[in-house]
Amino acid sequence: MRPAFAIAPDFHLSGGWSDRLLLAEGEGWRSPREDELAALMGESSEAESAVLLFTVPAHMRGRFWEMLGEEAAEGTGDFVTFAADLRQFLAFKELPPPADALFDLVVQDVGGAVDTAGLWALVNFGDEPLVLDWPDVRLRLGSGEGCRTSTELPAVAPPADDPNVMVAIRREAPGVDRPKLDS
Amino acid sequence: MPAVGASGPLELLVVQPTPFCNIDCSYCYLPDRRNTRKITAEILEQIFAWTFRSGLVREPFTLLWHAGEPTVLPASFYEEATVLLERHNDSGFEVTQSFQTNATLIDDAWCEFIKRRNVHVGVSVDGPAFLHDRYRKTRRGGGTFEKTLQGMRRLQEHGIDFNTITVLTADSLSYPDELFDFFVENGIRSVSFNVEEIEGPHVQSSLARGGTEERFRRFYSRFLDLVLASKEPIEVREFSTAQGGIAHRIDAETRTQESRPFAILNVDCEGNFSTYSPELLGLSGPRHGSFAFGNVARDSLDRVLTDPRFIALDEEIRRGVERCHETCSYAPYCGGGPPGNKFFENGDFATTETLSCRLHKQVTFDVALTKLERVMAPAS
Repeated sequence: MRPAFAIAPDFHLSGGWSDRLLLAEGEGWRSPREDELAALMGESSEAESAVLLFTVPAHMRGRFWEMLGEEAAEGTGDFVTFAADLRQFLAFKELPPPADALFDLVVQDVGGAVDTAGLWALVNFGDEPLVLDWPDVRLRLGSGEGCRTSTELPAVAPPADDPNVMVAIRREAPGVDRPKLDS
Repeated sequence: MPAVGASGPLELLVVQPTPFCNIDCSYCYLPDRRNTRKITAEILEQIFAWTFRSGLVREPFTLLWHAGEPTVLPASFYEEATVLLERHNDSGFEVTQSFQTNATLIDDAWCEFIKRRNVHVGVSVDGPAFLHDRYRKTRRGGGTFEKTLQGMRRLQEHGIDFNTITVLTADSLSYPDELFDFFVENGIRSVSFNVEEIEGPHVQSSLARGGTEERFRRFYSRFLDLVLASKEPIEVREFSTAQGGIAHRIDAETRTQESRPFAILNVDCEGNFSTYSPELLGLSGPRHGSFAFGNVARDSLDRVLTDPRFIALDEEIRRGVERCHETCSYAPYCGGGPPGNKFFENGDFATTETLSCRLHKQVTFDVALTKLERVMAPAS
């Protein structure tokens, strides 16, 4: 079973779906045909099962990297405030994270995977595309793009070819740490 | 009847060099924007002669080329117009020229003229392409964003500062962050918001839908938060206006620019003139007839001021302003709603609140007050 994909209401993403979605074929991946692409599009972006794509504004991406710079230089990067601002932005866009959601800053090394347990959304703050897989379907999130994942069909983040930086927003679950800067 | 001395002083002279516009915005209020007529040097001379002998010029004023896309005419036309203006200006007061433009035709010749004559430029741009191109289209339905962006780049390359006017529609209200990014990324440091108004042939506004006020409030509040937290200074006209209103409450007797006779003089490319809200020029009402009260070639200001039709209109507008002061708690800060909006929405100048009032005056005032209170609150 594949999830349905849609752009979250009140967001504008440049580029088309054919740049983002790939279908499994043998050992590799290929671009979907038009009819396959149509079948992947959700009928309703409000459905809980839909994977909703969104993008964070440039000013927020700039602040993210400033915060990391401050952390690296002085140890003063304030991820908690940044996470609160991200939450506020998503709430303004009518895509509010769950009240008890936890925000994790995650660094994915080359060859490393990402823990997607309890994932509600993932935002790619790196420069390289971030890849998420579902059975037979691969989604590429560009820089600054994020997605709210399907509750019914959890995603898997496969090992990366390039290092990546992201914010994972998770439903609170046992064993998940509070927001922190350590990856 | 307002005497000449009780009219004006002239603050804004709006001259229509052509009714034509090279683009076709779906919210445009100009009824005649396919008409390629152009003003002649003779009419231009008559406009300047009329203006400076009218008795209305008692302080510096702005000459705004508008009511059509002014850059459809070449910069050389405005160079000649400037010479004519200077020849007729025996008032001793400075006249600042201003252009409101879609910027799609701005080239090096324009930039050189703008710099040489120290002309003020306002660019109409509705934000990033996905917002701008929804309404600001070519006649074939294509987007105009890229050409507007090129025009702004050209101005910036020549070191010309400009402000922008962004028309907010129902679509824009979900995108304060995207608008903020657009202004920052494109070096825009002076921003004005207009709301999509019901004016003239544009009889429906996307903002007239239920729930808009709350959406508008959320949009404007978030946009101001971004601006106030930004390292890049951006002046927002609505915030500055609200600050000014809060600091200097407007006297209840004062009529604002748009509701004071001949504080604004609007002249079309044939020399027909009007006053009050510039949007009234070229339009008429079933009860009022044409809002053009004369022609600069034949009608003196004295003649217009004694015209029963003008007297009746002035009285109606005055009653509207009085009612604003009687019924609206925002009136001491805004001075009364624009007559054009009252007429187009309510069919009567002697009325009060409009969509424009609710969004562009009341909400922006409320939000500005909240932000100022937060800034000025003593630290706990």
